Amino acid sequence: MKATARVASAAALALFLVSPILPLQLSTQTVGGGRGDSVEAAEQRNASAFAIILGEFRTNVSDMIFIKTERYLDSGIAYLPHINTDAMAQSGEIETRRRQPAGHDATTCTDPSHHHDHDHDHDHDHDHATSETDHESTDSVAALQRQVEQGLTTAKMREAAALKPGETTGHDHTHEFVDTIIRTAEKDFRGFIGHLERRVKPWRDPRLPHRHTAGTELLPWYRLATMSNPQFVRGYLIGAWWLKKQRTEEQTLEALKFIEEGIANNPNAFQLHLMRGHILRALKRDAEALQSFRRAADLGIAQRPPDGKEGPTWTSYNEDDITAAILLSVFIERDTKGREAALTLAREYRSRMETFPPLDRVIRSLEQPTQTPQGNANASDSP
Amino acid sequence: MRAVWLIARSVLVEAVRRKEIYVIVLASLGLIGAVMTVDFFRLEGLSKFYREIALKIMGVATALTVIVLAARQLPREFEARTIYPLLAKPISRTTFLLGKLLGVMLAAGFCFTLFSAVFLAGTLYLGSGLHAGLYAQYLYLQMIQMLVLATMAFLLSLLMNLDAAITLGAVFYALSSVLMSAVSYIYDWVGAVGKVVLLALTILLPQLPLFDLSEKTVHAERVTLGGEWTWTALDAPTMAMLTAYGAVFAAVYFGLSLLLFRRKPL
Repeated sequence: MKATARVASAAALALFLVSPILPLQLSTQTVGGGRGDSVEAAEQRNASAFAIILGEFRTNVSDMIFIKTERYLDSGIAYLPHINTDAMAQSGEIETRRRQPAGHDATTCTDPSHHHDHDHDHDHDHDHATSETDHESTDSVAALQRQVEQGLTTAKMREAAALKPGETTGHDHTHEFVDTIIRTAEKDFRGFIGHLERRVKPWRDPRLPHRHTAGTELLPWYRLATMSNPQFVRGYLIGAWWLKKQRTEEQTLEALKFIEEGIANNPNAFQLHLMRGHILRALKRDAEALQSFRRAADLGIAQRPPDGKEGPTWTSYNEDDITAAILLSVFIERDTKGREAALTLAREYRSRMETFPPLDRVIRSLEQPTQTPQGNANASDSP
Repeated sequence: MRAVWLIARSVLVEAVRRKEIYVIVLASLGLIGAVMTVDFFRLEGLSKFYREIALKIMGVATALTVIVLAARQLPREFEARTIYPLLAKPISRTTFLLGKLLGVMLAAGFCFTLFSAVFLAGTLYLGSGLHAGLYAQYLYLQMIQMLVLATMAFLLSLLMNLDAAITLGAVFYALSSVLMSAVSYIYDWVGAVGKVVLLALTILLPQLPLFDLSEKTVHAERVTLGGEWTWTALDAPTMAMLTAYGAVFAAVYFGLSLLLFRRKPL
């Protein structure tokens, strides 16, 4: 018995001594750049029962920030993450968990501001690489910027970005509501304990209109998140986006500084270069912006699967972003150096990919200078 | 009454002399100070982040102090045999335990006073608004929570050894909000027996998040249009209900502790 224990101890000691060799077996390949996560992926993950139970208890900085963002924009009210995975699986598109009264549709609605066929905040086409018909969304600089923004942020964030501290939206979604994590009185089995919770915690009847508040108060969380995890690419992107949305030169310069810090920490994340380009354009530094877009395009093309198909490391959001980087490079090249230079650049990009329908379309329109396409590819359409 | 006060004072003096409170408070103040020094993109008037971090640190640091201090009171007296000369005097065990409880609560009050001074100074320095009524209610409810935690720690220290009592008390405090959410969330998914168990858990265990008004305090801001606050102070009936709710748990835990303490052979 003693001998067996001795042998086991010796074996354990030997294994411990050789353990430093193990890291040599690890792949030395650098981690590819990328946004790291999409807003829908975060929503989906945080809509799970376990995530809801955990609340703000997270070890993942990305999820913690997602929850913080949701709560801060709703004055602390904890709404259920707005995703319905069943509907998504059935229809192929993401619908928010919003309810409409029976019989409420385009024919019965009298609210002119309500678009019944709208794509709301999650209007992603998940087949960008193969679709040739969805070109309206990629034919202008403004549309490309909007597309990148929609992949990065939720509608609530975009709405709140326009607010200053102290301002709220009287967002009157009278025909739809999102459940709160704290139960309503009718559904609460806890009696007076439930009543007390609704009084003590930020809570509002989900049937009442939502009131969103400014998102600037979130910026320290993004700063802290990127300080604790410099590889949190999404944190840099959204933080810079919030800053840029302040629309003052000082904050736009801060956004530039922040995104450059992100690039220093994640040089291969092509979305960071793309965001840098957008910020530089806002600062009217177009030549530098073009360099950033081209850098984003080069990095993105190197990371993209040749056929652009979605996979574990390449999502529809990556595809949207690389589309934006490539087309923005081409459009700005066209606007600054002319059609021939843009065509050369477009062909050069195209030669590095097996398929890329949006670029094929742009090349065709550049080859036909006299014919103005239905979109505005030929027009100078700076935002 | 005088005996209660004397025992309470000795608890507080001992806690202060052992410098544990200072260490916890200073470490926490250091953290709050560090948060204030970070430059957040030269943006001014950002106060929610500061409030959230500061109130969280205040609550957690004070709760841990209370759990450790309360759980240690009785085992230490027995271990050091200092309880014998004390109980040889004409002091009842109820008076003794009440004195200990008051001492722990004074230590909690001491922590909150220090924290509040720094927090309010920071709020003034940042020039950010704070809903005074909500903040006062936050402090009051936190003290009720500390009362529940202190009596619970007394009970745990009489049921198990010191380390286990501190660990269990701290774990219960840390997970209380998760427990509350979990019970509420899974209720719809369990059978009839499960529903009864969950309801019993909800009623029998103190729901500590009910004493935490920090979220409303953090998110209360004056709306530009109209000037009203997004969240206002709780009304008197709600505060009375919360006080009664906390008092019931404190009384039950204190009563059970007293029962066990009386039965404990000297």
